Amino acid sequence: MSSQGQMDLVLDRDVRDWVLVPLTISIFLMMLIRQYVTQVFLSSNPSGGVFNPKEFREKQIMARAGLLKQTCGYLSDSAFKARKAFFIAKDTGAFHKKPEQKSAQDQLMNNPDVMTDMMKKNLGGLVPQLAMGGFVSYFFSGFIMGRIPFPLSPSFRIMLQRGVDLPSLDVTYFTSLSYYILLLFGLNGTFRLIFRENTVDESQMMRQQMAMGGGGMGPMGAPDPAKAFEAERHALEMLDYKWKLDGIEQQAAAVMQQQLGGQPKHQTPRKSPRLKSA
Amino acid sequence: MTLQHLEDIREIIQARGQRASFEDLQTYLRLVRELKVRDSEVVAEYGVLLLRKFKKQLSTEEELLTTEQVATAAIDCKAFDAAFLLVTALRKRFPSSSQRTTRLVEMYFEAKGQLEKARDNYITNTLDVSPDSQYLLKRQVALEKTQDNIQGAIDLLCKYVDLFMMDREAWEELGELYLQAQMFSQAAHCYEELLLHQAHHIPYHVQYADILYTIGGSNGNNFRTARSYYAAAVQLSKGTNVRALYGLCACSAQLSGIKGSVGKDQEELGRKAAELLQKLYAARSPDKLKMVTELLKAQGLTSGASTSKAGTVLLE
Amino acid sequence: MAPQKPLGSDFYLPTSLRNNADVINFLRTSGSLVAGLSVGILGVTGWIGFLYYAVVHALISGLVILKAGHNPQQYFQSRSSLFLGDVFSQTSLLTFILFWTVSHNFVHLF
Repeated sequence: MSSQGQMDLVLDRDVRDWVLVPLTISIFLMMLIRQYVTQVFLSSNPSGGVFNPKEFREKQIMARAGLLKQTCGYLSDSAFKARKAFFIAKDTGAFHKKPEQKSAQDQLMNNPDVMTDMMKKNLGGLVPQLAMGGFVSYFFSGFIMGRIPFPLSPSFRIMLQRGVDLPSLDVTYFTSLSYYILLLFGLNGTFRLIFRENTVDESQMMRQQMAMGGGGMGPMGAPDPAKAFEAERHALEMLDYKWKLDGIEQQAAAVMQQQLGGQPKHQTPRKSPRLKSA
Repeated sequence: MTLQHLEDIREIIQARGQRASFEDLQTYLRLVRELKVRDSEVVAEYGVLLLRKFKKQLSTEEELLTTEQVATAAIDCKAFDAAFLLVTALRKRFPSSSQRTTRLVEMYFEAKGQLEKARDNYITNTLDVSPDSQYLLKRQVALEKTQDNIQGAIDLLCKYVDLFMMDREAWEELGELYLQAQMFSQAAHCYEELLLHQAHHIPYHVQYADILYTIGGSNGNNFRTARSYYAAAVQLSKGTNVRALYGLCACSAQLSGIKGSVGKDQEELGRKAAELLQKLYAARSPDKLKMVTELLKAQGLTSGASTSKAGTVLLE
Repeated sequence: MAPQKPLGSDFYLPTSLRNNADVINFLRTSGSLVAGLSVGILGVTGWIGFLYYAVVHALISGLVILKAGHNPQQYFQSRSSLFLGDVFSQTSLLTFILFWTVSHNFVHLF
C-alpha cells in the first residue's frame, strides 16, 4: 500500500515491544485507576447546597411545563387551557414573572463557592489527563508507532503525526502522542462494556466543555433562566394540543365487543418489556 | 433487586427466626428501604434483632439509616417501647436541629396520641430552623389529618404543592383530601395533574371520571367527559376494570335523560358495558349476578331476557 | 372518527426503555470491538474495512429484530433509532477503528 509513490517504512520490532505494548498497557491501567478514583470521589461527595425555595420553585415550574408539553393529550380541553393559563397568562402567568434565579454568570460573580466547586470539578478531569499526557510525551515521544489501515487525506497529518515533523512521511503513519489520544477516546466504549453506566466519559466531558465555550472555563449547567422562561413560554404558546381521548368510545366499544365475543382474557396494559441483558 | 428477591429473603429470615444471619437481615432491611415496601411488623422485629446483635458490624451510615427505618416501623406497629429507645438514641446523637429526628419524634408522639406534644415539637423546629423542609411540611399535613382537620391539611398541602410541584404523591393526597372535603372541582384539578404524571395508571382515569360524574351538571358536558375517561380506562384495561364498566353504564343512564346528547353509538356503548359486566359477574361471582342485573335494569340498559342468555352462554 | 392508534400504544416504562437502550449499546460496542479485532487480524486495509463494520452492524440489527419477535415497536420507541442510532455514534466507530488499528499493527506491520 505505498500510495503516492512513497516507500513503506520498515519499523523495528523493538518499537513494538518497547513502545507500542508498554504504552497500550500503561494507558489502559491509568484509565482504570482514574475510573476507580472518580468512582470513589463521586460516591463520597454528593453535591449539596443551600436550599433556596424561590429558585427551587422556578425549577419545578420548568419541569412541570415540560410534563404538560409531554402528556397534555390526556387532559380535556378545559383542563389544558387552565394549565396553559397558569403558565403563560398575561401578567399573572408563571412564565411572565421575572425569574429570581440568577443567571449562571451572576452566580459565578457573587458566590465564590460555586467558583471553587467548578474549579475542583474541572481540575479533577484535567489533572489526570495532563499527567498521562506528560507521562506519554516524556517516555515515548518521537516514535513512529504504526499506521492506520485505511487511507486518509493529508489534512489529517497534524492530528496523526503530532510530535514528528516530516512532511514527506505518508499520512497514515501515526506517532505515540496521537496514539495516546486515539486510545483515550477509543477505549471509552470498551470501558463502558466493563463498567456499564458508571463510566467516566471523557468525550462527553469534552463536548460539554466545548458547548460551554469560553475556553472550557465557562460555568456548568443552566443557561440564563430569563431566556429559558421566555423560550418555555413560546413553546407552550405554540404547543399543538390534541385530545387523545377523542373517539375513545368507539375503541372501548370495540374492546368490549372483543371481550364479549371471546373468553375474558387478563391483559395488562402495554408496557415495554425488558430484554434480557446481554 | 426485585420484590421476588425480597420475598425470598424474608422467608429465609422467618424460617431461621432468632438465629437469622447478619447478611440476610442486612440485605432484607436494605431491600425494604430501597424498594420502599411497608412491612412494618417484620422490619421492626428483625430490625431490632439486627441492631441488638450485630450493631458493631454495620457501618455508621448504615447503622443510622437502619435505626431510623426500624424506629419508623416500630412506631407504625405501635411498639412504643422499642421505638422510644431508638428515637432517643437518635436524638441524643443529633440534638434538636436535625430534620429527620424531628420528624421521628413527631411521628412518635403522634402515634401515641399526644398530639399537642407532637405539634410543639414540629412548630419549634419547622418555623425556626427549616421552614422549607420537605420532610417536616409533609409531617405537618399528616398531623392535621390525624386531628381530622381536613381544611387545615388542605391549606398546608396546597402550600407544599405550590413549592414542590413535581411531587406526584402529594398531588394524590391533596386530591383525596379534597374529595373528603367534597370540594370536587379542586379534586378534579389534582387528578388532572396526576394524569399528566402517569397517564398509564388506570385508577387515575377512573377516579377522575368519577369526580367529573359527581360534579355533573344539567348540560351533560361533565358526563360526556367522564364517559370518555371511563372509556379510556376500559380500553387500557382491555375491559377488565369493573369500576370503569359501571361508570360507563351510569354515564349512559345519565346522558339518556339529557336531550340531544345521545347518538346511536353512545347508546351502544352503555349496553355493551352492561353486557360485559353481566358476563364478568356470571363468570366470577354468579350469586351477585341478580343484583347487578337489577341495577342495570333500573338504568334502562338491559332487559331480563338478554341477561339470562348471557348467563347461560357462560354456564355451558 | 378516523381510526387512531390505541391509547396505550405510547406507554413505555422509562426504566425498561433505558435498560433496552443499554443492551443495544452493549451489543453495538462489543460488536464493533470484535469486528475491529477480526478485521485487523485478517489484514484488511483500505475502505473495505468499513464495509465489514457495516455488515456486522446490519447483522446485529437483524439479530435484535429476531430476538424482539418481529415486533421491535414493543421494545423501542422508534425503529430507525434501533437500526441507525448507535451505528454512527462516536463510541462504537472509534472502538472499531482503534481495535482495527491496534490488531493490524500488532499482527501485520512489524
